[in-house]
Parts: sequence; structure tokens; C-alpha cells
Amino acid sequence: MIDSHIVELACLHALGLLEQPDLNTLVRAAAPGSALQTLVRDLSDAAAALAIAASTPPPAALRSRVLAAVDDTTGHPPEH
Amino acid sequence: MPPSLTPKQGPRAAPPVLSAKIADSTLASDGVLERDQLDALLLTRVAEGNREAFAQLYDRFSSPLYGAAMQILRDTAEAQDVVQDAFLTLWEKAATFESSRGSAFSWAVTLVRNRAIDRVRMRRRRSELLAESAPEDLGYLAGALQAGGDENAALGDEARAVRAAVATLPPEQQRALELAFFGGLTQEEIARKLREPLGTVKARIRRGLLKLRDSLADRL
Repeated sequence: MIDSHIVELACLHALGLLEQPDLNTLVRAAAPGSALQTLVRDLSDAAAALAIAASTPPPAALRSRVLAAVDDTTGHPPEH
Repeated sequence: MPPSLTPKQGPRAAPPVLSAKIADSTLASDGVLERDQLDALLLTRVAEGNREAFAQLYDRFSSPLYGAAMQILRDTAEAQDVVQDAFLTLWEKAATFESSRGSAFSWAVTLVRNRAIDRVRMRRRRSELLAESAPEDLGYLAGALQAGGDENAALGDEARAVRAAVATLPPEQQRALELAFFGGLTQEEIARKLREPLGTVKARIRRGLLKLRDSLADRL
């Protein structure tokens, strides 16, 4: 059973709202492989799902722009 | 970006020795891997410099990332800049992805959100008027629910499912989550904006996010 205060800190962390010293408290409590670490991951994914709810197709030109920027970064021509 | 809760991992296991096109075709047609696993596999290939995998990640992530950036920034040009910058970071930093910390998608959302919120906060510092730069009504849910048939038909199943899950939350929990995620506000700023005690706001966020996690358990 995870302490309810720690659960609250995990929720705030998932939304990027956690600051010191609460962040240190959560870090200390979330041992690798622990139930709390799993909870933190699940809550981060649930928070990220809010972006799915806001889904809006970007302008088509943005795809070309992003891929061209990657090509500029690598100096390699497109593969196709 | 919230600091990692896990220690840095060593080099990752070698990816499957398959050509991108063969593997992607298999994954797409047979549904061998779950969404998150496919995203993670694509990101592994991106770390190897695979541009085709990167293009696939763009196609999978761009609509939610752009939608989130638009909700936060309310400016198409800035939203496009932020999304482009986040994708370039994905390209350059793919090898640092830690699956124990969250999904590839959740990492991408964090990249976009942090960049967008940085811009919003820069605006606020310039104006020094919090109330003017924090959106009064984020309203993406209302817009989604009122959209016409054609628009709804164009939405992905996932977007519809998440919107439906958010719509089941009590309005005060929805509002707190929206302000936290899209408003770029701190805990204290959310409490001031809602004219509620900080403890009440934290409780609403906790209850709302836990319920959302439970509602989406089969999809995330």
C-alpha cells in the first residue's frame, strides 16, 4: 500500500507540478522496480493521454519541415 | 522536464536484426506488438539513425503533440516551432530514452509540453500579467464534444476514448487537470486561479488523474 501523500506527489510529478523538497521525497521513495515506480510510470502515461484528447492534425508542411531539419542535422540525404 | 526517478541505465540491448520495412510491415499487419512496444522499437531504430522509423514516429505522434502545443500556446506558428524542436530532440536524444520512466509517447509529450510552457512563461514574464496569459477556458473537451459528425469521424479511436474518459470526471477535476496540463501554471497559481485552497486543488488533481489512469487502463 502506497502512502496517500506519496500518491499525491506522484500525481503532481506526472503533471510536472512537483518542486523541491517534495521531488526529493518522491525520488527517495520510488525505488527501481517498486510498486511506486510503476505507479509513477502509469500516471505519467495517463497525463500524456491528455495530449491525445487534444489531437489536432498539424499542417502537412510541418512533416516535410521536420524531416528536412533532421536531414540538415545529419547531413545525410533522404533515404527515399 | 521532471527529473528521472530511476538511475541512468547502461547501454540498451541490441535491437532486433530486421530491416525496418520488414519489421514494420509485420508489426502493422499482425498487431504483434502493443502500441507502446512499437513506439519503443521505432525509437530504438531512430537511435540508430533510421530516418524511416523517425518518419513513422512523426506520423504516430504529430497530431497529439501538435494538439497539445496548440492548447498551451494558442498560436499555430509557435506550436509548429515547438513540435519541430521536440522531434529534433527525439532524433538526437533517442538513445537516452528510458522505458522504465514512461512510454516513448509520454516522453515526447513531456518534450513538447516543457517547451510550450517555457514559451508561455516567457510571455508572462514579459507582460507580468498572469491573468491575461493564462487561458480562461481551455475548452478542448467542450469543442470535441460539440464537434460535428464529420469532425468526429476524422478523430482517431484513441482520441475519442480519451475524451470520453476525461468527460466522465467531475467538472472540477477536469478543470484542475486541464489547467495543470495545458495551462502551464504552478500548483499555487492553479489554486489562485480557481480561488480554492491549495490542498483542495491537489486533491482534485490526485483524484482526477487516478480515475483517468483507471479509465484508460486497457488502452495505455
